[in-house]
Amino acid sequence: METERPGREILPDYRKVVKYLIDSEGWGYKKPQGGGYPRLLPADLAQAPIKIPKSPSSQRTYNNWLAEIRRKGGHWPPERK
Amino acid sequence: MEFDWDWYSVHVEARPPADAGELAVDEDAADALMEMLEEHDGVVSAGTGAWGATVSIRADSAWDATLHAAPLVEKLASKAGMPDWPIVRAEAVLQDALDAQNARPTLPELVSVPEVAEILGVSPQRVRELAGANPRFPEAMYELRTGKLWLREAIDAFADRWERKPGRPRKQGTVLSGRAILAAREQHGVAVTDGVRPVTRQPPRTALSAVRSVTGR
Repeated sequence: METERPGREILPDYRKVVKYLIDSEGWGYKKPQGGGYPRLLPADLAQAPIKIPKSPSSQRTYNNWLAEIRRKGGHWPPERK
Repeated sequence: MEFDWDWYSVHVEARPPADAGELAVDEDAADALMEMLEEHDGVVSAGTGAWGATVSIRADSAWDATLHAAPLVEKLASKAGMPDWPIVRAEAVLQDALDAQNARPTLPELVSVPEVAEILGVSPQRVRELAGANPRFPEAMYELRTGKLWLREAIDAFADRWERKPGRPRKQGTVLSGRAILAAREQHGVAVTDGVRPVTRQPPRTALSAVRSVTGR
């Protein structure tokens, strides 16, 4: 099934990672419903979806989020192809 | 004293007991926890059979960070309405170490025959020979229908250790053609070998007859 695409509802730094994971690693994206948070869906369906911060956040939040992606089998940065 | 402390990233994971079956986390509860953890640089993951949260906290050691962050996450999770599953993992890492780790690519660099040939300074054909005959040549990481892929690091390590022997490898047991044997016999009148073992192949009968008719032998 075709996944949703991220837009302005998430910050550019996060959007870049989400787009890469969708296009290159088979991850999915789910826009927020109501006031909720957008979700990043790992390619490995056994892994739990990861919430994506909506408002400007610290570098620590960004790195905690990247660590969560790597923990669930995603790769970033993607230099090596 | 707190200003002397370092930042730690602490990850906490909860799972239902093994006999509880397939249980899912309520999305609204997960959103509420995400909101509550915002001031702790928090990130939440939640799905069927597991939820997790990663927060940043200042502490004087990794032990201390875990001991403070895990109960904090548990308390806020309960307040947000997350399922009361036992914590199955709690781990802390110095935030600077995590940042450095995040900056390193995790995808391994892979190389195929043409790249390996370039690294070793040999032909692609020689790469295939090495892969088949040299026991120290690295095993391919993947073998696809289009060819083999090796880890770049493994090929670099092989290149560093590889003792090259100059010149073409000497072939053993070369069989000379009947025509070449006859030519040599005519010129030198000696038995011909290839330098390793005597050549046993006989020249073709027609060629031998032609020689006999010329030499009278």
